[in-house]
Amino acid sequence: MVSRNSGPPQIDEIDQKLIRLLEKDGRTTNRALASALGITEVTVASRIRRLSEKGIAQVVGILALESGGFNFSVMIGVTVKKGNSIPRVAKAIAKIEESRGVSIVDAYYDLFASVVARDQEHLKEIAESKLFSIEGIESIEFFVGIDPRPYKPEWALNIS
Amino acid sequence: MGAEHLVSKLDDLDRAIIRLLQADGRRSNRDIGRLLDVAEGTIRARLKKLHEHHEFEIVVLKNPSAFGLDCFAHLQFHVTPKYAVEFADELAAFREVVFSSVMASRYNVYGVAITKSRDALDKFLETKVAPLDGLLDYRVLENVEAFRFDYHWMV
Repeated sequence: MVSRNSGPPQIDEIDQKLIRLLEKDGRTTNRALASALGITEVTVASRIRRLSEKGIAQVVGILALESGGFNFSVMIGVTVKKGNSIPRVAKAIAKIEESRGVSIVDAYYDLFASVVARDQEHLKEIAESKLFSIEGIESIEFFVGIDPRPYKPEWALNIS
Repeated sequence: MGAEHLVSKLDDLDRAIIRLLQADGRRSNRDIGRLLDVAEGTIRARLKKLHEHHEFEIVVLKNPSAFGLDCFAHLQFHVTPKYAVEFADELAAFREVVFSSVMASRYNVYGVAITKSRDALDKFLETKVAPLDGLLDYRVLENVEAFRFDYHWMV
């Protein structure tokens, strides 16, 4: 399960500078980072490892959704039947390959999520074969995205 | 677009390189070359080509809460249709907003915002979003618990 970190931020000023340099070029060598920050290469390597292991920040290659031909973004507001576990339904939706953000929300629905699809046929398959068969769902309201702006990828909750 | 998207044009080597970098974006070209038994120069050339259209990029993913951003919310806006496209663009331009889209529903613009707190979100909505042309009303769905939150694609 993905959950928020608790406690105060665990990053100091050097981490912040390091992250900023990596945001400029995530593939800068440790040697170049070390000389820019005035620390040793070993320290650079261990700080990058720590940021990643603690789930604070991680350098990764990402493939934009559009590159997979996912031109369709659909949001869903889900209500769960009384007596059924909302987290169980959330986990079932999160397991669908095409689902993206899945979360319990505080208003209007029990869950809100988004689903990406290549085309209408693909969306039909996701809805009819995957979503509709999840136990305990009372209603699903679909909000069809017709003109998405590019997603800004830098924030993610599920860092390794 | 149809079948012309990037993923459909990748060969096995491209996919192998992407997979390694999706797991660890710091892995050096030399390391990747050694693992895949390919010359370092080939890896460099492939990566250059993959980066050309900005569909595959090396980024720093950050956990919002580690940076003091504890409020994550879905926003549904009902905007006079005439202004919907412009509204979605203006929304996307705000630092607080990570995604926006025009929607085919009564709430015809959707957005995702990440802020320090619920108070900060309300203030953002009142001072920056409310004055935008065409806004009639909106709903805020704040996240209580996230089960998944990623907007890219794995090969």
